[in-house]
Amino acid sequence: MEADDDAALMATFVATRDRRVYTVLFDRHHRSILRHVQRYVREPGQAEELTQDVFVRVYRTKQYEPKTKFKTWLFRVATNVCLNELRRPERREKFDVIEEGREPKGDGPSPEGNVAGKELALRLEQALAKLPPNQRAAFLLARQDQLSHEEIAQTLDTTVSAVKSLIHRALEALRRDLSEVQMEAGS
Amino acid sequence: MSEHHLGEELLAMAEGGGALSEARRHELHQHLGSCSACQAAVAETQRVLAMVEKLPSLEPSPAFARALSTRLDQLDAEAEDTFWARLKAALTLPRLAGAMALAAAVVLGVLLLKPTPEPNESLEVLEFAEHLELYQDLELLEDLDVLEDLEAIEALEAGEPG
Ligand SMILES: [Zn+2]
Repeated sequence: MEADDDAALMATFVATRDRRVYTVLFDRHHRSILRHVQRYVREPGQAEELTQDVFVRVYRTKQYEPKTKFKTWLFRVATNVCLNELRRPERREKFDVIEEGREPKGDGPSPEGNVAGKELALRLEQALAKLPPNQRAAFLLARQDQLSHEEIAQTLDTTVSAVKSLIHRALEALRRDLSEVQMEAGS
Repeated sequence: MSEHHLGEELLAMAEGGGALSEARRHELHQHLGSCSACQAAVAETQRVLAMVEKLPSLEPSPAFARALSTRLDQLDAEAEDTFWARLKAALTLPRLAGAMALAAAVVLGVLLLKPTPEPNESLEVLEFAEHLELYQDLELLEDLDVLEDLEAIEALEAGEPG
């Protein structure tokens, strides 16, 4: 895995402390980092706060060697920030709360197929919330961020074979959860 | 094969098998032809993947970037305060004071070389330490223990992912 343009920009920022360079990196990556943080912390305000923590760490970085893609490095910083937060006992119980009993949002009368689609989307969110954080992160890093297995392994500090297993187990759990929904709907 | 079905290769098959070798893909296709459980699993997997693609992503709130900017400004201000406190302490040590005087002389030299000096520019000599960045640019000062300590602490706080 090679360093990319953003890794070079990060090296420039660390050397020059030029806030304009930092802002370019922030603009390019804050949305995907916020999305990644939400894989660990669902509450939007808290997710934004942790995403800020990630970019504060980036800002305070004094040593940086552009050896890998910047995005991979940044996802790894974000994962560390999230896992540290999850380890805090007073915060732990707040995480991964499945919003049970939440009604699917309806926009008045709509075709039956659309209602079923919304119900399924809601169940997908709930099924994702039930996954262990590492499974959810590995699966969504692959599907939403198009990270390779090797990049995910670096991000989550694990091996490529562990990543494959995490993704497989996540997919199995989602499939199981969502096929139950379909069976319920069919009965 | 009939016992193990597709296993971890289910995802690859749900995506069309492009990630597998041709021989393996052919083998699994044959299994799929005779196993309704795996056919259903592939169809369900494709459905889940399609749903995941449609997941909405959260937009940051309007206050998000501003809040971060404020935090960075505070960090800059704190770094400057810490730097001055340490500098003050360092200046009580004679050998460091000597180095600082040398640095001041260098800065003074640079300022005097400017083509159109302003009348009050000599004041800048006293303010030469105002920005941490300036110090980091002065290789002369890199041997000062106090600066190394400061940077080591900051590197630790930054928590390098490595
Ligand atoms: Zn089968």
